[in-house]
Amino acid sequence: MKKRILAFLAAAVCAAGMLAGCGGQDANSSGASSEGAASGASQTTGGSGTGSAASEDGRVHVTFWHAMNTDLIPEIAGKFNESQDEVYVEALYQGAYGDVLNNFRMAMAAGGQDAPDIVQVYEGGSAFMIESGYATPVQTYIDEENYDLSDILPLIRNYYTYNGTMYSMPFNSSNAVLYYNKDMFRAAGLDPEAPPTTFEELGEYAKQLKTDGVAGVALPIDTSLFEFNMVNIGKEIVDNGNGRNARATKAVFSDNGGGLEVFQAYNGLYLTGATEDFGSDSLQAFMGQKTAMTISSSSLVSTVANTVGENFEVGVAQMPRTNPDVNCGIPVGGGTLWLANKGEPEKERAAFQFLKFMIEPETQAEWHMATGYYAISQKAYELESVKEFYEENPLFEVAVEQIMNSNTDAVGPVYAVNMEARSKIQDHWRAMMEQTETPEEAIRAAQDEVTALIEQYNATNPLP
Amino acid sequence: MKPSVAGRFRRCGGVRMLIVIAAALFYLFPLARIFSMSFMSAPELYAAEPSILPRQFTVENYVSIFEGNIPIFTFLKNTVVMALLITAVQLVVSSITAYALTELDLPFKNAVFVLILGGMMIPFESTMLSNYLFVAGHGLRNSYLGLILPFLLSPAGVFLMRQQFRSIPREMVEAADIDGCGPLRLFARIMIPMSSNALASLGILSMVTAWNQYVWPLLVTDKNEMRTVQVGISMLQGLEFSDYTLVMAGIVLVLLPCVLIFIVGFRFFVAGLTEGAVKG
Amino acid sequence: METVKQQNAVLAAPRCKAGAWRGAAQLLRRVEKRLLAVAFILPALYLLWQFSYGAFFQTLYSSVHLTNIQGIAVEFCGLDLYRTLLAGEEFWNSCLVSVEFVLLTVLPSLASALALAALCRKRMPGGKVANVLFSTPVAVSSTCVTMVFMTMLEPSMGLVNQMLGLNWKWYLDGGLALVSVAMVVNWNLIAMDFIFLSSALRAVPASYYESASLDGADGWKVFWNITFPSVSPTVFFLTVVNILQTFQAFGPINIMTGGGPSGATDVLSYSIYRDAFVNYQFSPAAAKSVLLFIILLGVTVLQMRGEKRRVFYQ
Repeated sequence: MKKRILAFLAAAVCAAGMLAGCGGQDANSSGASSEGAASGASQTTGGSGTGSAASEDGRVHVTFWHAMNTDLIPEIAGKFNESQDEVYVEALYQGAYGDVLNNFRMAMAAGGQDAPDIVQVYEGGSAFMIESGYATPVQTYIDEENYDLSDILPLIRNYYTYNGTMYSMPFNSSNAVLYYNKDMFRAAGLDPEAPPTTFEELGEYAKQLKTDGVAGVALPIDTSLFEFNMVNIGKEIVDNGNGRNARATKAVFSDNGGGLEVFQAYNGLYLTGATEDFGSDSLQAFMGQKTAMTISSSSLVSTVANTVGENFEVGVAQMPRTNPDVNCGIPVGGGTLWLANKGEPEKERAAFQFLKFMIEPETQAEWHMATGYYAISQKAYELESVKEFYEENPLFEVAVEQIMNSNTDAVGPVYAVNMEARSKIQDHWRAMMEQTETPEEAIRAAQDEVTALIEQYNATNPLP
Repeated sequence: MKPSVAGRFRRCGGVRMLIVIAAALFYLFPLARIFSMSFMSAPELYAAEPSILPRQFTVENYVSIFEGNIPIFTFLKNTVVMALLITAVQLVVSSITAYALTELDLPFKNAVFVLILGGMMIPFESTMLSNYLFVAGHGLRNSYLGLILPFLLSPAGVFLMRQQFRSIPREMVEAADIDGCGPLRLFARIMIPMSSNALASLGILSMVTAWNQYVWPLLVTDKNEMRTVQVGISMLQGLEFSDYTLVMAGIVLVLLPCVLIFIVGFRFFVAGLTEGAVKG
Repeated sequence: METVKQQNAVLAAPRCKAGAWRGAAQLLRRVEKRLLAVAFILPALYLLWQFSYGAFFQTLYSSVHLTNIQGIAVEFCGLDLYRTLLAGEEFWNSCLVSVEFVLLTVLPSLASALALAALCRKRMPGGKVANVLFSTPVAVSSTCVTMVFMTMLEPSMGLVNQMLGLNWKWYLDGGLALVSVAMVVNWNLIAMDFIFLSSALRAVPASYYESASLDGADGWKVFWNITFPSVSPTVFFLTVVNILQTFQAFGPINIMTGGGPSGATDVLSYSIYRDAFVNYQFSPAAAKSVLLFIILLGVTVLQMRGEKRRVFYQ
């Protein structure tokens, strides 16, 4: 009867309450023990983490939201906390890149008291971070401390410097590489040590590699690749120096002829009939041996190697060029670390100490070898551990060589509507692949749409 | 001889059983696939000849989850607490609201009902920021209250209970009225016990929906001590690429307690309610 | 009705003392019913205001303003955003895809769940196990289901292609993408509908079926004359709720197709999500949210009208 139901509900609430109660105890005890433990950086006692900058233990507590679901980040934070007694960093996984940025955005909209002090943002979110005013440029503290940035790879330094100001600290950087199946190369009579270097060669190889049920090459329709191709031939996507000297006012990738050149190169590949569209699953298709080659992020080298295992031999090569005569290099993808602008300079200063630790050669070497992102510190490559590592894992070196051989000004575009613009470009790219639009039509329409987005954005976000 | 065997087979529902078994095999294949993949290694998943059952059975995925930095038991406990609280409140609120909308003397019943149902039509993108501002503004981040507040009212629950109360034979209600049974007693002694099946279904739905929350818990918690299992599963996914075998092992670990709770827990719940109906 | 009752009470009063008492008691009962109604509805109204409608008014406000990158309204623009949406192809494509998606999910899942529930209604060996098994998929979160289906439908290493000897691209193919996503959503929905329908069937008195079998009605007749009418309130409930849910389901689409290829799976709710959480175009997202609300309200009110004719209450 009523009593039974009340009893059930009461029991449910009590059970919940009891579990919650012991949860509190768990949290406290684990937090207490983690103070001493090197790897316990991700756990502290409950509480909102707000309040005055310096806490009871005399250290400035700093929170760090990241999107890297690996145990390595808390470990690095733990090492940092061991290494000094001024600053205590708490590294908190906050979902994938998109989740991190959305949660950060809402925390800032709510006044910022619940926002972290450091947030990791993917390359595509940089423009949002700059334009929203939610971040304090790291340049502020670089200047304040006269910090020497010369160890950072020059291209990466330039990539994250806009209009003379470095906004965020690079941390995890990658670029695009060509993955190829060495066993299939051998079977087709191709030299597995001489992978294609241009789109023309890519097409020829693809034709030879194509067999029944296996594509020659799988090309993902991904505008970040388009941006890489554009940088590679030294052409800009938007005006004002790719949006880096001043805010972009229009798209120029059709007007400057670069976009057409790139689209024609892709179209040439489609016309060979040896390509196949696996969309975002291109890498899976490669690992499942449904395509002999594909282009994907260099940060996945170790994942691919582990997943393929003994199934076949993986080759990794530099990304083929669309124009055999020009090679400006391949720019940067990945993420960087931003200081949240919460009006707390003390915390920002403390957080900056951690950012410096994150780009030290040892940290970067460890990160590079465990993931597939390359080290952004030049000194990291001189470490014995890294040299030894390359002898056993030569695949990791390809992305590094690619970045070393790139021009130091091979930087991509920065503009606020880039995420939406990317999907517009992708739509027309797909139309070209399906042969419903010619490369000329596709690139012209894409430029017009992107320009409209930029104009609309500039109208609602007047410069101060 | 033969026809009689076939006849007996048909009479005791043999044909129906065969259909049920075939349907189960087809429908539950993905479930079996989760289990099977969780015992595979990543290369096996991508081998040229894919396997339905693991060729080289391995518990490596489970081992690495337990050895990893994800406190899976804390996450499970948090999720159980959160789901139980949401379910309990939703059952109470749905029942009383539906009672007000059917038996009680409420003006503009239909308009109020459509207004409540309208709560289901507002896209979550609209409410997310405002709910976050409310929860963060009251300092409820990283707390159970913050996790459950936006989900305490279930318009679908109100709808279901309204349907249920309307299905209760009028004679029973009128008889109770003549007996001088007050509205509160009518609710507790007749309406609720007569609705045990609907309440149980609603309870399962609330529980499971709460269990599977991802976006909101991720938004209002940033401490492992307060996180839930779906956030834990997302931690097993790769940055740009997932090791599916590992993720499947995580799904199994999260799925088992959930199934146990709703099978065992709700059997007791329904039994209790039905017993009440017989006595009342 | 009420006034007649009252008059009766008043007329009865002088005749005997007990009548007066009854009249007073009835008045008390009415006051009690009114007070209880208010007390019982208040929690729901508070929650509704605090966590749904309050925010929705903000959305209405945003939808007639242009917003900056922080989401702050900077300029009143009247109904311009609505005009742009209604004049553009994208919005109508989203509407069309949404309707297709709802048809591909609600109808098959309800039909399958009803069939399964009817099959499992009668006692049979292993019947309880079957009941539990068919309910279990509801416990797998849609994110997880999506991932499982992706591994199975994956064009290169997926089991489905391998087992059926197909070479389909499933969610990568413009023609099949929506069907692929619908399969995922169906898988969860069938289990949910099954739980509700089988519990509704359990509540049907066995005597109904007994009298039908005495009359010699065959399976189909029993289903249409007894089973279906008895669960029609539940079927109605599920139809309304499933439509509301699938109109707003965007999780599987976000993971599987990202609205593509070429807008083939760009349902309205996903395009709102993309505007608000990827492109940070807050006011178009707000305008789309308002339009979605209006569409859903219209659909639901129509269904409520239809309820009177097709649903049987006891």
